[in-house]
Formats: sequence, C-alpha cells, structure tokens
Amino acid sequence: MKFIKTIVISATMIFSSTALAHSGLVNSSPAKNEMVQDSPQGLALTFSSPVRLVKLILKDGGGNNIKFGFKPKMQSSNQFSLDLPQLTPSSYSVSWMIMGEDAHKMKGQFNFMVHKAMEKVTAHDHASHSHD
Amino acid sequence: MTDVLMVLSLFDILGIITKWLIYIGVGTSLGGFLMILMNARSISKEAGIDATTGTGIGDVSGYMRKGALIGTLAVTMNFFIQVGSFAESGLSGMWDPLMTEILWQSSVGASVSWRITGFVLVLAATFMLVKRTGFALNSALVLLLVAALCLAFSFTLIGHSADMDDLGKWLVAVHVVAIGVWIGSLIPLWSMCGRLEAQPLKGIMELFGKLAIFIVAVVATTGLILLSLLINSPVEFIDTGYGRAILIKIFIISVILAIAALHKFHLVPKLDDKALESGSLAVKVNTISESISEPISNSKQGLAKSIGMLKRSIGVEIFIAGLILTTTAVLSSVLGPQSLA
Repeated sequence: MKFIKTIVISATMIFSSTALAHSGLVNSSPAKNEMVQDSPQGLALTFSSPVRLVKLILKDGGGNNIKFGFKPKMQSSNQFSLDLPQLTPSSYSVSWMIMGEDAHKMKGQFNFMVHKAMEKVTAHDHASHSHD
Repeated sequence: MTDVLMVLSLFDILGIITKWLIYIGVGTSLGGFLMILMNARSISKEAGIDATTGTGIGDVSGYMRKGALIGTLAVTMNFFIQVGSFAESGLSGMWDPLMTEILWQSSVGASVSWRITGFVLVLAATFMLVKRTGFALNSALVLLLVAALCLAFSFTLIGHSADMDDLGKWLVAVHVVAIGVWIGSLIPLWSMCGRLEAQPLKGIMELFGKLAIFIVAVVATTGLILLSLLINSPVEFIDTGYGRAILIKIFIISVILAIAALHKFHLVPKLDDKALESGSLAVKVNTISESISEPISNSKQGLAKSIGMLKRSIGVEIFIAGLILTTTAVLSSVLGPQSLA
C-alpha cells in the first residue's frame, strides 16, 4: 500500500499537468468572483462538452448549505440551469462535480458575492472600483 | 507535496490496484488464448512440443481461469470503488444507490457489463477445454474469440478513447488486445523454462518469436497512430504531463523490446547450440571410446544454464510488463481531468 502510494505521489508530481482537454466549466452565471447587486434568479453552468452533473452544492459565507432542489440527472448535457431561492447578501461558493463522457470525475469550485439590492455606492467605492 | 497527498484518496489507490488487476485479467485471458491456439492448431506439436510435459491446454486453462476470476472480481470491485469515489461519503459511499444508478447507466456500467461478459465466457471456455479435440475445443475457441472481442470493446467505452472518433476507439481496442496477448503469454512461456526439454522449448520460443514480430508491429503501428491523434505538437512531449507520461511509457516499452530481441536473437538460438553441442559431444566421445559422462554432464550443465538464463530474462520481462501496466493504471487515474473553474 505504501509502495503504491509512493508511485502515485511520484507520478502526480511528475505529471502534474492535464493530460488532454477534458470537459471543464467554461462559463457560469453568476460568473466566477462576480459581485451581483441583487439575488440572482438562477444558477447556470456551461461545460466544454456533454457531462453528467453529479453534484452541485451552494454554500453561503457562513458555510451553510443552501437548498435549491438540485438532483443529479442521468442525461449528459453541456448546459445546466437551476432556479435559486432568494439569496441574502453574502459571499457564496458553488462546488460542482461532473462525470465526463470518458467516465472521469472532475470537480471545481467558484465564488460569487451578492450585495444588498439598491445599495448606495459612495464616491470612494466608485474610485476603488475604477481601479479594478 | 501536501497538495498531492490531499489529491490522493483511499479510493484513488484502490482504483489503481483494481485497474491493474483488470489489466492482468485481460492479459491472462488473451495471452492464454494465444497459447491455446498455438497448441490446438498443433503448430507446437510440429515444433516438437509434447502436451503432456505440463505445458498443454490443461495448464493454460488453469492459468486463464485464475486470470478471468481475478478480472471478474477486480471489475466488480473497481465499479463500486468508482461509486464510492463519486459519492464522497467514505467507504459506505460505495453502496450509494443514486451514484450506483448514475454510474451503471453511464459508459462505466457499459464497460463493466462487457468485461464481465468477456471474463465469464473465458471461464466457460476453460471448462470446455478439458477435451482437447473436436467440437468442444472448437466451441471453446469460438467462445474465447467472442470473449476477446467483448474485452476489447470495453476499452472503447471509457478512458481517453471515449473522447475519440470510431477509428481512434478501435485503434485503442486493437492496441490493448495486442499488448494483452503479448504480456499475457509471458507467464506461460516462463513456466515452460525448466519444464520442457531444450528442443521443444526452442520450438515454442521460436514460434512465439515469429508471432511476437507481428504482435509488436501491431502495438507499434496502433500506438503511433494513436499518438498522432492525441498529440498535436511535439512540444507536448515536454510541456504536458501526458506527453511526459507517453515518453516514459515509450522508454519502458523500448526496454521490453530490447529484452525480447535478446531472447529471439541470442538466448533462444543458444538453446539449440547447446543442445546440438551436447549431441555432437556425445557422438564424438562415443566414437573415441572415452568416458562420456563428464562432457555430457558439462553440456547438460551448460544447457541448464542457458535455460536458466532465458527463464530469468523472461522473469525480468514479466517484471517490466508489470511496470508498464502499473504506469498505465497510475497515469490513467492520476492524469485525470483538472478543474478549469
């Protein structure tokens, strides 16, 4: 067991880059690190090729799971859209897991932030945003 | 280093072990099939092989039976290990009904079905091979052919070949079959050393040597075409993990080819030289009425040494073959897709 683990670790260190252009998340709404001004209506994910979306977890800044009725589907698809409940202002993390057509498991995670709706933006905030 | 350790899980390691055992099962089935074909078609008999010397169909059947049983168990275990890997809820996740259903309805489930069908057919054939002639033997050979096709087809459903077109998929299947036949023949050949007399041993080794040229040509041709399909630019051999993995595999395969060449052009012909030498020595010493016991025993020692060298060399070849399978199992697992998120 230890020998195999050594081999695997060595292989991982030597071949740390991706083998082929496997299916990956190419786009999402809300986008990665996006700051939205109001609770988004839904969550949309676009992958580079048809995949099975096996897991999708949404957590708020406090690490609490947000239930939004995701159920894994047997069918493969490039795009997935799910309705979201009203999200309170907070930072959110989306964790996804897919099975590619080649049966490989693939995981990813991204964050977005929900600001208070109609929040007054100060001149200082404007200045700081303009530098982004 | 810590990141690497975090990447690994118990399921990764168990997945690699079971994948390796699946390869062993496939190789054993395919290599045994070749041995039985060699035996059944009496080619080996023409070469002076005596089936009663312990290298007959009965022995090969037992070898294939063990391999097919290992393969069946490994395929089953590998499936539930993958379920556990997707469920991500510890060992109990291996029985997660939802993930089981998702994986069963995917290409993973399809590959499991084809592989188990293949191994079951191999098992059935080995029991039919008790009779070494006639209808039972021919039926067994047909079953083994169907089994080989089932096992080959299973490799077109998962892994990198799943991302390729039909040509690529079948190139992978032919590549796998050729490698399986080659590697799976090594243990029966190894066991013959020391159990067969020099002449029949040389006969079977020479016959396998001829077949191996064709097998190696198929492995090399399909491998090169697959490389051209998978690698877009030579820079990838250096810049990507996949390219580096391929380079390492090519290096290991070169080593095993060098050993095979050593057998074919040096060790196997040496068996004949020694055998002839012992014969000619015996004649020579008989005619001049000298004591023949010492030269003959010397020549027998020389012959035993040659057979021992061949056996050791095939043993090294088996070890390297195991290394190739290990590399393949590890890399196909470790070099999985990475998050683009």
